[in-house]
Formats: sequence, structure tokens, C-alpha cells
Amino acid sequence: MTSGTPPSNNWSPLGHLGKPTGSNTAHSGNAHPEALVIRCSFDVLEKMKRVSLGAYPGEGCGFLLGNDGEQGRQIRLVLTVDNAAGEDQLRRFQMTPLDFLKAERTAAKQDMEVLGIFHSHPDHRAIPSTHDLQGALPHLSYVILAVDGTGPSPEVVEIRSWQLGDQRLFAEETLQSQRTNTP
Amino acid sequence: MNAIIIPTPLRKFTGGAGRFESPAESVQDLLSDLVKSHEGLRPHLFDNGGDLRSFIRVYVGDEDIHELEGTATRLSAGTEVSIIPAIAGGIA
Repeated sequence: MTSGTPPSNNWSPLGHLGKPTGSNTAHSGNAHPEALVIRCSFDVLEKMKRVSLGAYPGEGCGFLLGNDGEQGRQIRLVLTVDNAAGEDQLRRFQMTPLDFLKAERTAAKQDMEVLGIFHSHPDHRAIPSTHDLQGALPHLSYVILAVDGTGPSPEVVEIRSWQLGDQRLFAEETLQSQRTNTP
Repeated sequence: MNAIIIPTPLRKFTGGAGRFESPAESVQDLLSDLVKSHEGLRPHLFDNGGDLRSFIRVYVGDEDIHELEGTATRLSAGTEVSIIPAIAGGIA
């Protein structure tokens, strides 16, 4: 986790949830100078975890919809997307242009916007890979969940969020989850 | 006049505008006019070699330009072009 706005009220910082798993090459710069904060409810967090665990040993993915505000980003809705990477989905994820259009339309109907995406890294750290960087868009938060499959059942052991900077390098955001759901 | 629709994640480079208009008569010229007007878009649409990034898809109406003539696709007046990202990534 990066330094940033201290958690207030019942916001809890996320990050390493257990032992780190595997290894990834980081394609990231320093922590974001503006210490971006992204917040999500417990339900949003649980949905991302369920999708990631359900996809194991493949990669799960989806869109994150919500609103930007003075206190940071609030993710309100998770739109699960079928991984379109086909046989490569053990190490890749892909969301089609049609998926993106649907997500933008859903967001607009609910007075939200597409603020990010999430995907899982089976048996690898929650750090952006070279491939993540190549396909990254600015403005979006990239939440990555590390799934460790070495135990009796797969487990999400790390959740981190990243955003592409102007130099096309990822900077880490401060990801917080709230135990109780926001309206 | 033709128009190109900008996806939300790229609108920070267009001052929040979701639509750009130009009299360009081909997709290539329309994209060129767009990045000349909003230079910050260039590295996110084109790679260092000047080619459209692989995850950026361009549609003329409902058709992917890959199904037409690529960036050489000609535009008749009043055509709407869309930039739509195909988001991809993964551990390797």
C-alpha cells in the first residue's frame, strides 16, 4: 500500500491479505503523487473476490462503475465480463469492445461512469505485468487480485489498485473497503 | 463534417468532450486531426511507430475498420466514428 489519506470512519485499507504469491515484474512508477483513493463497499470487494476465485486457475475480470468525488473514487457496481481470451485465459484476460460499450451504457443509465476494471492474477502478485501495461488506458483504476492456489482451496491473498500516469507507467492507488455498504 | 466519439477514459485529454468533429474524409485523417487538436491523446492511441495501438478499435458506424479498409477507410459526410478500447492484460 502507498501512503495516502488515512482511513477514516470504518474505511479499511487493503493490500496484502495473506502471504504474497508467485512473482511478477512490476511495470510501475512510484506511488501516485496525488495519492488517489479508491473506495468500495464490502459487497463490491466480495464480488471481485468471488469472480477471481471462480475463474481460478484462469483469470477473472470485470468493470468497476461508480463516481469520482472529492474524497476519491467510490466504486458502486461490479459488472462481470466473460474472459474473451479463450485458451489463453490461464494467463490473460480480454474484454471486447462490445463489453466496453455495454459497460459505458450501463454506467450512463445509472448516473455513474466506468471508473476501472478488475482482473485476477492466478498464483502471481497483484502487480501490473508487461501485458497489463501494453493494454492500459489512462483514467481507469486497475484493481488486481492475487489468487493463491497452493493451499487446499484457492484464496485471494492480495488486492491492489493502479492507475496509468501520463508517462504510461502505473502508479499505485490507495484502495479502501468499507465494512458496511454505502447507499 | 464527420464526428468521432471519444470513450470516457480518454476524455481527460479532450477537456471532457466526448465528440470531436472534422471535415476529414478518411479515418486516418480524422484520427490525425483529433490528435493534432488534443496532443495528449497521441500516446494512448498510437504506438511509437505511429501505428494504432492494438487494443484501440475504431468503428465506422457499427463496423470495425478491420472489416473495412483499415485507417484508409473513406468517410462520407455525416459519418460517426467511434474509438472503443478492447481491454486486455494478464500475468504474461
